[in-house]
Amino acid sequence: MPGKLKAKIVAGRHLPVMDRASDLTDAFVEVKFGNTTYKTDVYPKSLNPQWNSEWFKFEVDDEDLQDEPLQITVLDHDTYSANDAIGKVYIDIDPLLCSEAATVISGWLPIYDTIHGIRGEINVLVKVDLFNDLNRFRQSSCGVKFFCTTSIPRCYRAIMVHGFVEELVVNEDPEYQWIDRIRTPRASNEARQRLIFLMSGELQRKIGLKVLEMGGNAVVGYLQCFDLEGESGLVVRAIGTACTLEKISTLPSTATHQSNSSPSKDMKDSPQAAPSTLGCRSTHSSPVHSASSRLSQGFSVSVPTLLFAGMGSGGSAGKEAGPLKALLRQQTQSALEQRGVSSSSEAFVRTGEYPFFTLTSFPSGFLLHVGGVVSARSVKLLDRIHNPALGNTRSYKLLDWNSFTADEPETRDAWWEEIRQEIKSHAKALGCHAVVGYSESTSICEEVCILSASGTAAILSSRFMQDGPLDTEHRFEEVVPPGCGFCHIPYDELNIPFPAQLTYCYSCRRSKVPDVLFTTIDLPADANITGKGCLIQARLCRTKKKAQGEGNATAISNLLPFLEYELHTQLMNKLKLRGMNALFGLRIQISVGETMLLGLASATGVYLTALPGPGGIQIAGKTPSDITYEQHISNMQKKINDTIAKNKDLYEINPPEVVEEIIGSPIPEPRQRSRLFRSQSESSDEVSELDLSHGKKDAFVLEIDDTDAVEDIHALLTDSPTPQGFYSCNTEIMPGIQNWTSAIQMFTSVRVFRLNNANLTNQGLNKIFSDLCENLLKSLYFKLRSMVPCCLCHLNFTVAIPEDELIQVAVTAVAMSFDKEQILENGKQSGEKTLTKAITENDEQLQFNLELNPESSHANPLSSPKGLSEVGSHPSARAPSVDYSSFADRCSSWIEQLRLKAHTIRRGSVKTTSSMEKASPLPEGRSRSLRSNRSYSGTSVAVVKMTPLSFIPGAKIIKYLGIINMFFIRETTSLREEGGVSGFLHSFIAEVFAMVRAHVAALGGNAVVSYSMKECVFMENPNKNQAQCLINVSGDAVIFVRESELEAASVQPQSTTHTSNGGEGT
Amino acid sequence: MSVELDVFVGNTTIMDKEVYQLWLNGYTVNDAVKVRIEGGVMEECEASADVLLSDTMDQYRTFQMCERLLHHPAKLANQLLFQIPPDRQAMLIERYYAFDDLFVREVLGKKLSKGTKKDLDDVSAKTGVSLKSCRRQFDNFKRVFKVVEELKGPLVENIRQHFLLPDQLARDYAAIVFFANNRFETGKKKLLYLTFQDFAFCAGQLINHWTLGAVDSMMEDMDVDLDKEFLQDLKDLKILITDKDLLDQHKSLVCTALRGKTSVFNEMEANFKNLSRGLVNIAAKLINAKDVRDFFIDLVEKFIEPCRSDKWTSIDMNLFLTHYTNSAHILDTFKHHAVWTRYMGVIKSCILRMYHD
Repeated sequence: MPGKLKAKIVAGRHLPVMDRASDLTDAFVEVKFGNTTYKTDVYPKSLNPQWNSEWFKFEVDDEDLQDEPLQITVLDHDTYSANDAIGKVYIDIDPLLCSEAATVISGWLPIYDTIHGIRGEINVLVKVDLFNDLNRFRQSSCGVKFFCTTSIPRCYRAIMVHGFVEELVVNEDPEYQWIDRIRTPRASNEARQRLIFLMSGELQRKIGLKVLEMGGNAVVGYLQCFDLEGESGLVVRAIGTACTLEKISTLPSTATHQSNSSPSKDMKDSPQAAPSTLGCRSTHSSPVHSASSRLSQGFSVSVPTLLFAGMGSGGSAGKEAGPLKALLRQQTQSALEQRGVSSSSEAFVRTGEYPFFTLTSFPSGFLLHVGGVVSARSVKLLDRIHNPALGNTRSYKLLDWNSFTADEPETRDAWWEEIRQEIKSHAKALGCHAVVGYSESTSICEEVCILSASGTAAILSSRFMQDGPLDTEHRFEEVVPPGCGFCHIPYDELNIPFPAQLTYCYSCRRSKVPDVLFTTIDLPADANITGKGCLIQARLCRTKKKAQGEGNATAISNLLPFLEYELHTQLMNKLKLRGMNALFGLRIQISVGETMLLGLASATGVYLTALPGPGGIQIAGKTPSDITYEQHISNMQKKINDTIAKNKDLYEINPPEVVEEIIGSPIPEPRQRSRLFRSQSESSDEVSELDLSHGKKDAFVLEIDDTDAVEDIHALLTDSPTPQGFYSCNTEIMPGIQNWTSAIQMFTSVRVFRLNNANLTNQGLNKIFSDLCENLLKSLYFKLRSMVPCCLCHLNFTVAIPEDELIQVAVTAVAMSFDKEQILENGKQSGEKTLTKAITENDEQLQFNLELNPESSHANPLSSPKGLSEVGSHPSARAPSVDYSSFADRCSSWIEQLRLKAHTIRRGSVKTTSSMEKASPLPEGRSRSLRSNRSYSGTSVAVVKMTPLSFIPGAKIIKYLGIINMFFIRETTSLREEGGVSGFLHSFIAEVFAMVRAHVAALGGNAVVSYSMKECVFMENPNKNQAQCLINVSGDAVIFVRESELEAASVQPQSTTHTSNGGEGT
Repeated sequence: MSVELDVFVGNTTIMDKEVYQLWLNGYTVNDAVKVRIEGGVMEECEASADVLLSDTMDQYRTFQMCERLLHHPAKLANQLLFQIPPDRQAMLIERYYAFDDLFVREVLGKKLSKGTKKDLDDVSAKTGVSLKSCRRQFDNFKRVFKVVEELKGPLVENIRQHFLLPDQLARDYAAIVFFANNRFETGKKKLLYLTFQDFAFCAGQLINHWTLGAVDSMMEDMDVDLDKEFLQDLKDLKILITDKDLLDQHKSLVCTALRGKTSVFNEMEANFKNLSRGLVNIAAKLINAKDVRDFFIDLVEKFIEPCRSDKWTSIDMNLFLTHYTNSAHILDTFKHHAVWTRYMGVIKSCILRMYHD
């Protein structure tokens, strides 16, 4: 009995009237944990009962403490008939299990019913006494801290970053059990809610175990998702980055800590741990039959993956894909076989296999170089589960799938394995040994499931890492300049995996940099940028024929490469249109519906000072003889040039001029550039012989002979600029803005759009989708106009196709005000402003000329920095008409590498043994905002702030209270009465916010950081007057103190670091 | 193609004051959008009509969801659903409980019953206040009435505490409740020149001086009913008009005091007995509920109108009432000084307030 959970029910308020006759309620409460239930007395005839119960005590294993929620049910006593349930409260007691988090849960929590919503509040007190030393109980992972924050949490310092942890748990979805036919919607919803709570708990515990195995004490960047696979089940999966964190205090670290985090010894002390819970990988999923045969049919692994390197993307498909697939299959299968027979410790070795990091920003000095975005997608068919063992009385319990999956290689696990392998090999192809800003997602429609993973290939400093995760050959110990080092190419200049335009770094002039850089991470805090950033979105809709099963999967996988290609093209064009050269926080979401595919790519564009300036965009027509046509073109060209100029002004992009032209032409001889278009366009054959690198031209050429291209250009130009006073980005903070005020407003907005017109063209759909997003943004700006000047940060769009003709877009973001005075403060450039302006004009002039006399363009003396983005303006380079030079073909190269390193991939690292040699305290840039050690003072206000960011401007987070991970279902059978779909969803989202706030307040917190709404599944049936919605939210509960309150008392050891700058994305 | 669903939820609930007012005024969403467009908000923020429509719908929905809480303003502060800053909460409440003087003038003194509510469409037509808004205002009156009816202690204070209203608004509501409870007649043609604020002022006087609470705030009973004992005692004042000597004495005292000080002396002298009879008769009859209802009409008919036809100025009126009140104390056989003071104090201030065009 390692733990005693104690709960006390104090009072209720605002209860609903349950007895019509008296207009009152006779309420009592059931408190349940595991299989033990206690009841309070009935408090008769009151809507504000005062139970003041005794302490209910549950003596339980700490394993259960981690898995189970405390379930509180409020009921109305009825003498003659069954008691009516008023509602429930689930309390996650995990935060109480960690000594550094909350100590008590106490406060008013909303009583929630899945049919009626919030029905009053209940005041409870919950405590946990843990009897034994936590370290001895390894089957539970009590004490491992979890953070949604994708950076080192602000009041901690990273001693060690261990690497990737992942886990998934599968169960049958209660909604699809046979019993669902006879039970009430309420019972079904509650079963689902409870199940997901249990599964989340279990998942977290298991991840925790892995972390302990690796020698860590925390998971940072914890991302948990669930996949509603319908009949084939419910998958809850999570990824994160295992770290050893240390609380920042005045004491110089470690003595106690080290003993704490060298668990290898402890492990041996408790050998029961491994076999009992770890050995059985209950994470396996549906016993899909004939999986391998599918594989060979070529749609199960469609792998139309892209690797966006610094400057482009390459598609794998066609010939190369074949061997790759074979290889992957071989690998994964052998890995699986091994796993099947091997002991648990073997399984653990695996976790070190992937040098992935879910972090998006890093302690300074950790991130050395960034290669580019790597992503992988795969289309899978979900198979129905026919298993007699399901649906039995244990249905409320988690099923152990081990027995079924032992001989089924094709599991959810294996699917992800494949994808991760691919990501890893992509990274290798970019000369990188790690992937940062890593995330995984799925999109499910009927039985088709697209699995996606993406991240940024990077080279990390080994300072924070153990020997395990990374290949030794890649260990860099070089010192990189802070402002630009991360831009320097990690790959070998002479052996780059794709054609790239390299120049010497514009900051330090010592290393090569690409001309464009795409990443999924946040802008490093110390990066040198010019001007400000902005949100850049590429939106795409593709129609698809209705199909079933394998045919459907094939169709989808055939479409994916085109989708990605076009998204990428759009991003590139829009980036150039804004005069910027790098994307951060890139997130590409592809959503699948029955008759269409949606693609949405969001990122924050910036001008990195270290990179060359982007070229313009040049329009070319194929029929130059026609005068009116040319006029048309030149008009368009003018428009584009104007827009670029305007944007440069708007975002204050005035890069200092680089005078010296000694850089030469560092373009390496492109290898096999001919295969540039292979997978992306049908015309690959014609194109294959083209030399796209001829000459050096400033601009990017758009050919408008093609209707697609006209659309593209229109799309480019119709993106309306943000209104005066607004900025937007999807990263943690807006590059170029620092002086935030304390005014923040987090919000969620959801729109569902119905396409009544069945026969829409791709263009038509594109326009609708694009307008939908644009209008949504406009609405947001309008709503938040009172906060001007302000920036919408962390704009996170989620698209879905809930039904055939519906498009759903959900946005969660935070609006933050800033002081106007200093926004222009990018200091240095002011003097050069005029100069740069002149140059810009000059450039435009040249572009115009270029367009008129394409021939002369070769001769243009544009070997200037701007001239480096390459042009493929060869007449026959039609393709989808937008040609960006950087489009890469790296298949062969990375296949090769993959092959070479196949064995290292599989067992690249062993990390269970942790040597703490690197545990020495590191001077740490992240601590800059920690200013004093005065104790916190402010829970008097019930206000709870919420933000998707990891920090609160003008405030210092002094304590992390634990992770908030909540899942709610709401259903109604009186949709009209509740104000229609909008009314229904509006109140549900408000209720979810309210419950999050209440739970945070009960933990003693006053804010949620890194908040995200990971799932919002909305279904309606207006004819039946019904609707249902599922929402999953997560975040970190924290206590913050206003810096102004601290000002007086700050004796700060870290004052020097503080000045570096504020508010960036740690 | 249509937007099927469109919601925006902020962690801090965003509410636009202007839209709130339009909602309170009973505008439909489309009308509100029109008003907003005319107001120029679009140019200000580079928005389109669609954006405005979406925003307006969203706000309306928020208000509707809040309305239930506004019915019990105390709940607004400790509810968890909407995170609204305190100053915003105060604004929401104040505006929700604000009313149109024109409207309240129509229902003042009427029984707050279903019957009255049914007639609201007439009131709406007459006042130009939209029916929706009329209903809200009427329901507010009724809600406040129901809550404070049963409460002990000072009326204004009760309203302020239960409905978290600012002082002036609480006083107005006290007046409305007081009028509704005593069913004062305010709708007669002769009374139409009086504004709500005139009545509210009088109600304040009555509440402060003539109710039981005015004497002893600790008393069981409260501010909504007039002090029965006092009304009983008022009958004793009749002696001022029934006793011929007293009446003559009273008159001569007043005339002596006023001679030369007023331009309407002659008219005053001629009318003194009538006026005095009017005032004292009102006092004597107040014990009957029916006559309480006619209190204001009586004041107008018996006193204000005669004076007005004689073209008294308010200064004349003030002088007269002051001396009329004070002289009574000098009468040697008149013993009811306390009652007289309590009565005349209120009468004087009411008449002075009501004496205008």
